[in-house]
Amino acid sequence: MKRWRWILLGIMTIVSLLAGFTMPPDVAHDAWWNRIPAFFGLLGFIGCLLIVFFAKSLGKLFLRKREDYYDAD
Amino acid sequence: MPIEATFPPALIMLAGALLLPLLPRSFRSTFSLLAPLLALALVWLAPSGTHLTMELMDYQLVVYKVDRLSRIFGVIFALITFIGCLFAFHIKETGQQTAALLYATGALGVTFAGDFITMFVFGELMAVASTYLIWARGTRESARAGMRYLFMHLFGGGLLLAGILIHTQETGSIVIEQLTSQSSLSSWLILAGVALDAAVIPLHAWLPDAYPKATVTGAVFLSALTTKTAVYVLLRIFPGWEILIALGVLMTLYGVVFAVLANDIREILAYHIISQVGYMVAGAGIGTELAINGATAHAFSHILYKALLFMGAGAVLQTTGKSKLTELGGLAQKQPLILWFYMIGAFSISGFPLFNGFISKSMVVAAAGEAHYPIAMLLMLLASVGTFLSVGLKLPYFTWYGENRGLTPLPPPRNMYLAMEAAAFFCILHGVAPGLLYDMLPYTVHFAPYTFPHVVETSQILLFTFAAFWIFRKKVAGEAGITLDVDWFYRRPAGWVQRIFLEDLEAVFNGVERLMNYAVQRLAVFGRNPAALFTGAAGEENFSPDAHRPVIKLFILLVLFSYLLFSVWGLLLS
Repeated sequence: MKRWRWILLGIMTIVSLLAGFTMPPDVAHDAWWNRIPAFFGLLGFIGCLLIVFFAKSLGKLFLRKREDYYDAD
Repeated sequence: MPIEATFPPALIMLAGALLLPLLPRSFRSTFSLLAPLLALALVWLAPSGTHLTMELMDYQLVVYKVDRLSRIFGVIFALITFIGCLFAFHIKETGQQTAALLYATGALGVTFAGDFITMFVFGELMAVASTYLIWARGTRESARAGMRYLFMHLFGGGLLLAGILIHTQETGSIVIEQLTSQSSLSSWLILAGVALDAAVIPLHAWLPDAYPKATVTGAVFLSALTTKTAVYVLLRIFPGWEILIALGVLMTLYGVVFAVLANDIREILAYHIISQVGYMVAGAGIGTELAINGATAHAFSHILYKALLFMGAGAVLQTTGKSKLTELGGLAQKQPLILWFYMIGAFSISGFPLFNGFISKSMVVAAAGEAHYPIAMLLMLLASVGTFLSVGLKLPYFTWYGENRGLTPLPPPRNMYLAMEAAAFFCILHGVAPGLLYDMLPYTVHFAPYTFPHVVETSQILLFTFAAFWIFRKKVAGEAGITLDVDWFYRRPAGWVQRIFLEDLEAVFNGVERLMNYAVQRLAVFGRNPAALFTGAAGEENFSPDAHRPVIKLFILLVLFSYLLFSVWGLLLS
């Protein structure tokens, strides 16, 4: 990616984190996780890793088969 | 007959489907646009109320009944049929266009049905017409997947019909109404039949099995109509059934997990239909006004962006002949327009602010919070991470960027761009001006999507998902192969059933046949020369009086003598 896009992304990340810290409590989303700082950033990052590794390990365990699996017999 | 505002749009669509093959070939594509456009106008103008009833034996069929919920679903079904027919404008095969119009007839028919029998009949029409859109691909894979698809839907139709019959027997009424009795078998049968169409786990495997194997243009109709018609029926009949919350949330996560494993781009999108429909099913389960509004709005948005995504992925397949991540890459410079239209769909499904997914998905999530289901809310937020990961990052990255495999795509037909433009227009329109969509919803909307916390939360989720993807993008790359799903339970045993009931049975028959032949042969030898049995001279030697008579004479004498002995012995004992 081009450099200016990275810079833009960096600025947006910082702004969204800062905004998250100064955010008034959300009425519609009033829940325990609102008390964790930068919770939604963590959710995005850790959630993404969690989904990828959970899916990939399921795939390794038994879900992924070769292309002709159903035609083999 | 003049067409009035109360004329059923399903009949317009049906007339269109039936007339289409009779028209001159050059006019058919244009005509396939006119039918949905006229239907759209009729739905738009239709006043609320019951407009058409018919008598069937002792029952009154309500064929055309309009209220706010059915109208908005009718609008989007007619609109997407128009966009889909525009995308398929270049298709010369009339069968596909007719099937698409019949399919839309079914969807509109179900939407505006006021009784269970009408609903069932139009539902089955959808199943049959949509199967043709899979078969029309013409490959061996699509023929088999289409057959599995058809069987699953006929099975679902059977469950639905059984439920309807029991319900009618219990209540004496065929009128569609909310079913509240959770202890009645009929409710559960109807729910199972509808859930199969909505791809509710574990009745979902037909969807990722069949959709990637449909035609490029057929998949657009498939992605829009079947599951969302079922969502409409869930919203109509089963609002507030708590089990739907659990199932819906499970669907949101199940879809994203399986999409991570998928390699075919349309299979990734198919799993994300399950994921997105999960939000709507959960909305039906929550059942509050906000939740019903949210599920309806999300169905409307989803149909537009998912059709756009399928059009983008279909355009890649159309122009390169490839649909697997492991065979695609490096197309960004060669087809920037398709990439950008696809990305508009991807931004929408991922819930970027200013796109229509943002203003509809958040309604369902907020409804879960408002109705005090915090776990459901959190899990749905987690699922949205997976949505952005697969549809917004993995698929475009490995299709248009990633390793350049030296593909030289053909230019797609111009009408494909027009259709993508139309869908992209609505994705952005409703994202920028949500009021246009909110005003059509069944209940008055008291929900503001563009609040400061909501935008900040969404931005954080999306930015950090991107960060995680970028760092671990090598791990996410597609791998050759297929993923097992619950279709294993009917595809794998199909082989065993074939082996036991066809191949093994045939082997037994063959064995018996061989045995009989052998026995007949031996009997023939024995008939020619019984002595051969004792002399061991089996085979060719014929009976000769000189050689064999003494032996047989001796044998008969022995037998007679033994009778004599037995008789004497018997006399002595008595």
